[in-house]
Amino acid sequence: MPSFISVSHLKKVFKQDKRQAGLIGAVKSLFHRESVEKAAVKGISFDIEEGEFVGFVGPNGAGKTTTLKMLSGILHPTSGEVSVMGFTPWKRQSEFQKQFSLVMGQKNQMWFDLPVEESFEFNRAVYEIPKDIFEKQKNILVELLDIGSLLNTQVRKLSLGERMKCELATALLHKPRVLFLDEPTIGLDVISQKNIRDFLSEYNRTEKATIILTSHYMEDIRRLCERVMIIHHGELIYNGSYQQLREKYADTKTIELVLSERVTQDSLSKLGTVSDFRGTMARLTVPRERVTEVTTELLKNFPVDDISIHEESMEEIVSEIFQEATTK
Amino acid sequence: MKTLKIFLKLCELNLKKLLIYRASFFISLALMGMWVMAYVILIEVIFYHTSTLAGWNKGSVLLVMSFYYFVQNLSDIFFKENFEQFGDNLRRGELDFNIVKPAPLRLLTFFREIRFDHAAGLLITSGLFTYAFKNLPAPISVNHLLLGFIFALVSVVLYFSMLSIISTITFWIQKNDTFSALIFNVTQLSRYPRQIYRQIVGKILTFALPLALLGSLPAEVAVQFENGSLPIIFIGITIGFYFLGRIFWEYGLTKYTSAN
Amino acid sequence: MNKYLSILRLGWLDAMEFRTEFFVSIAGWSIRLFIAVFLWLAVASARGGTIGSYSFNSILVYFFIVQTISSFIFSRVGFEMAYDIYRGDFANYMLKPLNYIAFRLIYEMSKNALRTTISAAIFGVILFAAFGGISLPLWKIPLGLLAMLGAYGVNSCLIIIIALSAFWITNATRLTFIYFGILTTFSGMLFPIDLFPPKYAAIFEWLPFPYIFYFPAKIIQASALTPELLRGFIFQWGYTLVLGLIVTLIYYRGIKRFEAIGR
Repeated sequence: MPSFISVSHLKKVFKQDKRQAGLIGAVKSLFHRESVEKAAVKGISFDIEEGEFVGFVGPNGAGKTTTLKMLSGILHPTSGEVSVMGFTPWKRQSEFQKQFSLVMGQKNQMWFDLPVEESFEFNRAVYEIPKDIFEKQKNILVELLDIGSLLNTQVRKLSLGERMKCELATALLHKPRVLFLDEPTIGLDVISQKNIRDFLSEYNRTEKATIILTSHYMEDIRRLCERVMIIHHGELIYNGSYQQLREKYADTKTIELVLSERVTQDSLSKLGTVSDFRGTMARLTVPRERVTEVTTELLKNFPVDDISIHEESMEEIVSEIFQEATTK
Repeated sequence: MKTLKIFLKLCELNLKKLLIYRASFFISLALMGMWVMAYVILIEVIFYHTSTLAGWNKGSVLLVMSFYYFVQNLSDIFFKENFEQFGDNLRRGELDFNIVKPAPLRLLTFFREIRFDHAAGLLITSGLFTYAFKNLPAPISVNHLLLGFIFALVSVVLYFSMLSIISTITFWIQKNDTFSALIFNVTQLSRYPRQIYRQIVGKILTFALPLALLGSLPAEVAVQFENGSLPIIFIGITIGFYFLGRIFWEYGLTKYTSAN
Repeated sequence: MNKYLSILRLGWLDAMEFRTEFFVSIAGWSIRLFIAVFLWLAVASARGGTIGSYSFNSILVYFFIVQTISSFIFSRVGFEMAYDIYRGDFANYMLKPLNYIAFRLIYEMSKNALRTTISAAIFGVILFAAFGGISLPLWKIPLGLLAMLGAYGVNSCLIIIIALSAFWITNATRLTFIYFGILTTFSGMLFPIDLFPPKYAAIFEWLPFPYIFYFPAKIIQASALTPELLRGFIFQWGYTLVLGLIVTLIYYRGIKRFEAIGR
């Protein structure tokens, strides 16, 4: 019995035309084009079980989106096998397509000039959803996402956050068992991000839907995913629980301080690792579980003008892991 | 059945769009009227100097032109804009959402923007038909006219299939705008009776690249022009092009690279 | 003067960028010519070889000349200007110490220069090879160029007048398309004006349009310099002058309006 989603030795190579500059180059390229091969995904393998919520993480251009597009049948792989619910995605059978959905944060599948409701109706026709099931699912989604007041608004008039909520609803009307989300929270404000996250976690729990999400917000991954896969330069360099990842790598936060008076570096280094120090400005790296304690201490005993706390960035974590992977 | 349902849904949504945007109906009307008039004047001038053109009388030549515009109207309304934008859409990766949907992909892609405001053209075209009828030496029967329109619909399918084949090349050559612009230019070939294209050129434009048939053949059927089994061959050519277009499209799709 | 030279260079570079457009336009003409060849061949053979005062050969030469003129004359300057005004980019040009209309025209001309040269070369070769050429007495060179320039003048003025209407209305570019329709019929682009029944031809010769294609083509094709042709020059340059004045007038009223309410 194969896994719910199984990927083995999946590889995608893109050919890119090399353009020569200048007039002579342009004339040359009319007759002869040189192309460069670029491997976006370099033979990755993994399995996902039904109901899992998995996060794909990696810097831009790492191959996350390309992988997702192969899983949803948009791209044909150069080589390798993929099975999603027993189907080969790029054969694009209707039975398969009716059971999954794809949402992309930067793109919009709704009818831009029409009220939201019309896009729902369009998907009802395309996915052949029976009227009663459609109505029921619509009501559930409208309530969960709190978009009742938006249904009669033209898509073009929605804010980015509202639009993403409606995109999600549009994509979930046919009750997909598998959901692929590509950067669903990109560009959204903090509150909208949180709303989307709450909804996704609720949906995953109640519908037992299998969800794969890509994001470069660590917060998305932290709140939602039990399992994390890190992709870098087309290779899978980490595949395991979020818990372990955090403990192993992202176990610290950075506190940035602006002080009204000079203090000594020594007084700060008692509280954490000082990574930057300029008299009235300092950056401290502190273990995650001590952040509250250290912050309180700082506010109590130091002349703090301004204080801010930062997650270790995805890029930092990934490069840390990547270094480890290459030195192994 | 499902295809028809989705097609009707697409029509419905685009009709609603038309109501939201007040259409540029009258400008479309003026623009197309201008061009039709230009070509009618050309025909008038030609027939001022001669009484037949490649074996056709004035009324029949005007009828060829009427069917040509009818085919153009339908393509303007239903799919032309989608073909024009296809290159851009492909570069922006906008095919993604259509690919994952359980519905015929070319239907979702090439019938997404249906421009009902271009229906203005049909008004001009019906005027042109009326003018053509007036110039026919003998009236044509309703049955034959109907048959002509049925063949005009076959022409639309043929035209769609040819556009689809040209567009599919975009999967390999990202900047394919040259080809698309070319095909729109090339269809002007079908404005006149196919018999003006002589010898080998005529053969090519009838059988290999059957552009000369788009307007000519429906008119030939309507005026009962003696053309043997050409109507049957025409249907065969259309079916051939349709399936060729479909297979080529499926193959092209495997080369789709989406966008990042 | 130098600044206009640098505009010339910019336009040239731009033209290189738009190679695609260039090939499309070549393809467009070839198809139109291709159709014209077959259409007029059919007309000529139905008439036993002649159409009005033309033989099949001479009407083809006519169309080749018209195409060459058209590649020299056709410009997107109307669209560019209408967009400048419509989007309000026009404001940027008002601030610069140059004549906006001159800027647009020179820019456009340099873009067209390449196309005209190439098409003149192509059509020239075809003309001489296929039709034994056209007689080229000495008087024809300066007068031919003068007629082409006059044609450019008339057409540009008409296009600019339409483009400047963008100061008042939003659909100026659509109007330009309607103008193309009129131009096609009454300028001799689709067929020579003297193929119209004589009484119509006589009327149309009073309009500015025939001086854009028909007249210069006639000059180049003429076997002798007749008084009618000389009269044509008076019409052509008279129209250029009058329309030029109208352009100036509209331009300054447009600026006033632009300053008052913007766009």
